[in-house]
Parts: sequence; structure tokens; C-alpha cells
Amino acid sequence: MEIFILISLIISFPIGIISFFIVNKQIGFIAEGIAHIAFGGLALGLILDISPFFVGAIVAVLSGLLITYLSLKGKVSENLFIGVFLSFSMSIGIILIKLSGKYGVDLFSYLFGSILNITDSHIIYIFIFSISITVLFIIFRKKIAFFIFDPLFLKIKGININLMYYTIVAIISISIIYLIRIMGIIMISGIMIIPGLISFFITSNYKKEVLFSISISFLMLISGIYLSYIYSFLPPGPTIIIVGVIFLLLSFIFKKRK
Amino acid sequence: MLLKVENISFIYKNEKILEDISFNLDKGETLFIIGPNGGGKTTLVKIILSLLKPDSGKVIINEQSLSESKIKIGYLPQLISHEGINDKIKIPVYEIIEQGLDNLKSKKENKNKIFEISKKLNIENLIYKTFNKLSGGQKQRVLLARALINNPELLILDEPNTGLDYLNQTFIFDIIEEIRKNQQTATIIITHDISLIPKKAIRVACLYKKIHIHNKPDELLECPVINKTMEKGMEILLHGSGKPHRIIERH
Repeated sequence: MEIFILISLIISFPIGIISFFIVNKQIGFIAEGIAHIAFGGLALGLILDISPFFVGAIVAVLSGLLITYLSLKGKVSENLFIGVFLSFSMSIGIILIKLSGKYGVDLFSYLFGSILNITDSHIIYIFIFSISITVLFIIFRKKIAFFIFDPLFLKIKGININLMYYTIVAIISISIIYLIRIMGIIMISGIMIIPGLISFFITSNYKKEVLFSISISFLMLISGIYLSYIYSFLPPGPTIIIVGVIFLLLSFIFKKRK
Repeated sequence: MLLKVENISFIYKNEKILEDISFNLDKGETLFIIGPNGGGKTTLVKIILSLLKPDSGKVIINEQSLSESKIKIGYLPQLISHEGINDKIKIPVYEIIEQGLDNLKSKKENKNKIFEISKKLNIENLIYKTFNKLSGGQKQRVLLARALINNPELLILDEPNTGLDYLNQTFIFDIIEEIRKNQQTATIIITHDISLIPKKAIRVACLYKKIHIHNKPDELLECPVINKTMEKGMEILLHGSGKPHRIIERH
């Protein structure tokens, strides 16, 4: 159990920070989209016998950047292109897996995930990645907040806001790939949105919002894992999401009463 | 000459938005640009700020391009559209004004500057509130503080009066005039409301694809595109003072 507490604590930082960004930038569809798009990459990795997460990460990052490019150039919401690429990549993934005949446990674990899937090397990668995201956020927190608030003003100040957006989308894409093993493709958008949304409802300042978002994601993860530890019939991923939705409803009531 | 706009043309989806726009602006000068919605006012501002590339022509600042000139620019976006502004994020007013500073100095120095400009704009009591909680007039003052804190050499205000009551409008215009006088700031004020133009305004430009510069507000009456700047049924009259006013219908 201690190891799960440690993993939950480590991944709460990137989840909380990214969730804050996704909610305030109102790009909730991106977590769902990139996770599904990565499915095509995971399938390709399985067929080629190369690390599925490595191939999935490349596909996710490239797709995230392509979606951002198309939405910036086409001046339309990212959500529209995510919708298209989501179906496209899932279709490719399903065809590849059907051709390879490798239906089975591996694929199922990508769809639904489990914290039990984590290996020691994966913990080290997650640890390094979480620290990197947290440090980057601490350094650039004001720039990131102003990128959400008024990107045009940053552009006038000579900051390359497109490069900034591409970098953030690439970081989100890599985080999603790391989290797929724990949360699964189906559940990932919940964990990436709920903490940010709850803290959006209950806090009055963006800095507190980030801290709350990190704390809530830790609370969601640890409660879900603990419940599934006590009641073995409860799988961890879905339990984490159900706990999160209960928290969300409570926060909504709290916000209305305020 | 601080700002030279030379033969700017801009085409969007095969439609000419701006056609051969040229004008100059010197230190301490104010140019009012009036024009109807869709007349190209905001496009022109974006070209001056290097946010859009013109199809032809160029913008020269102190004999250089904008990026080379390193000029200090203050910009106030439109309040209503607030293009690009997402005020759902809860950012304290203090940090928004701080964003306008080019060279971040010591914390104490920055704090003093932020309080100084906040006092001038009468928003010192809002400094630790978040932007999303403010009224339209308060938001406009905060964004103006951000535009002014750096002592800009060129100040561009896009519809600074939109959504504001008369008192807020007068207050903001008095501050802008005071800064222009004291700091010799070159100022461009974009508006669609002709009644805002003060009597002593020396230069007024009508913009509707093409630009027509007038050196006195009363010359506006002869401007070939002035009717396009007003809603249907409106007419311009001059006050005895020479200040143009719009009226809804002549009785």
C-alpha cells in the first residue's frame, strides 16, 4: 500500500498542474482525444514489438502538435480536430490489432489501466517526469497564467506564444501516455479534468487553484486505491473516477451555497 | 517622427480590409481614428503592433521596424470583445498590472510603481482582488494601468470608452491627456463614438478601408466616409464650441 501512496503523491503533481491548465484554457476534450489517439500508437508498438508506450508517446505528441497547428491555422477550436483524429487513430489501432491477432490482456490493460501495472522502471520515469513538470511550472507559473488570461499581450511583449502552446500540448501528451498505464484510455479524461474543475469552483485565486488541484488529485487517487484495496471487487481506475465525481458534486453544492 | 505608417494594404479572404493607409504620428501627438465596425480599425492596430503582416506597405518606428526599435508600447484592448482575454482565470489585479512592466526590477521598486499607477487610476483598493470579480469600468482601469505602468512612448487604445458610463469615460480620457502632456506620449485612440472626440483634438482620421486625415474636428463634416461611421438615422452637428456631436434625429 505504501508504494501506491507514493505513486499517487508523485503523479498528483503533473495531474493537478495539467488539470488546472486544461480547465482554465477550456480544452477538456484534449485529454480524452490524445489518450484515444495514442491508442493507434500503442497498437503499432505491440505489432512491431517495440515498446508500445514509446511508440504511443511519439504518436500522441505528434498528433497533439498537429491538432494545435491545424486549429491555430484554421482558427477553429482544437476540439473539432481532436474529434476527427480520435476516431481516425482508434480506427487505425483497431485495424492493426485485428491484423496482428494480438487481442487480449495487453490491449485490455491499456483501455482500463491499473495502478498494479506499474513496474519499478516506470516509477522512476514517472518520478523524473513529475519533478520536471513541477519545476517548469514553478518557474513559468506567471507566464502560463498570462498565456491563459491574455496571450495577445504576451505576443506584443515579444513572446512566441505559438511555441509556448506547442510545448504545453507536448507536455500534456507525454503526461497522458504515462498515465494511461494507471488510469487507462477510457478513464483518463476524468482524472485530468475533475481536480482542476473542483478547485476552479472552490478557490478564489489561480495559485491556490493549482495547489488545490494537486491536493484533490492526490485525494481522488488515494481514496480510489484504498477503496479498491479494501473491497477487492472494485477496480482502482473506475473507483478513482467515481470518488472524483462525488467530490465534484460536493464542490458544486459548496460553490452554490457560497 | 515617432511612427510612420506607409502605404499599408491588407486583404482578407479576397476582400480589401485596408487600402493604402499612410499617416505619421509624432511625440506628444494624439490621433483619433473613428470608423464603423468592420472598417479595419482593429486590423490597423494589429498591423502597427506587428500582430498581423500587411500585404503591402510598412510600419516604421523611430526609423526602424517595431522589433528593432525597442520602443515602449502601451496597449489597451477592447473591453467588450476583449479579444483573447479569458477572465475566467482568477488572476489578482496586482499581477496583471505587473505584467505591463518591461524590465522587472526589485520587488519593492515594482510594488511602488504598481501602487503609484493604481492610485492615479483610483484602483488601489482593487489591487488584491481578482480581475474576474471586477465591473466593466474597473476592468478597463486595470488594463489601462497595465498599459501605462511602463511609461510608454506609444500608447494605443482600442475603443477605451466601450461599455463605460460617462464618469468613467471622462476619468479615463483625463488621465490619458495628462500622461500625453507630461510624458509626450504619442497616442492613437480608436473609437466609433464621434462625440468622444474633444474639441481640442488636433487630428482625427476617418477609417473605412481608406483613411482620411483631418486636422480639425469640424472638418469631419466634409469627410467622404463619415456617414459610414454612424448608425442609420444619426447625423453630426457641431456644438458652438466646435466639438462634433452625433444626434439621433434632427427635430
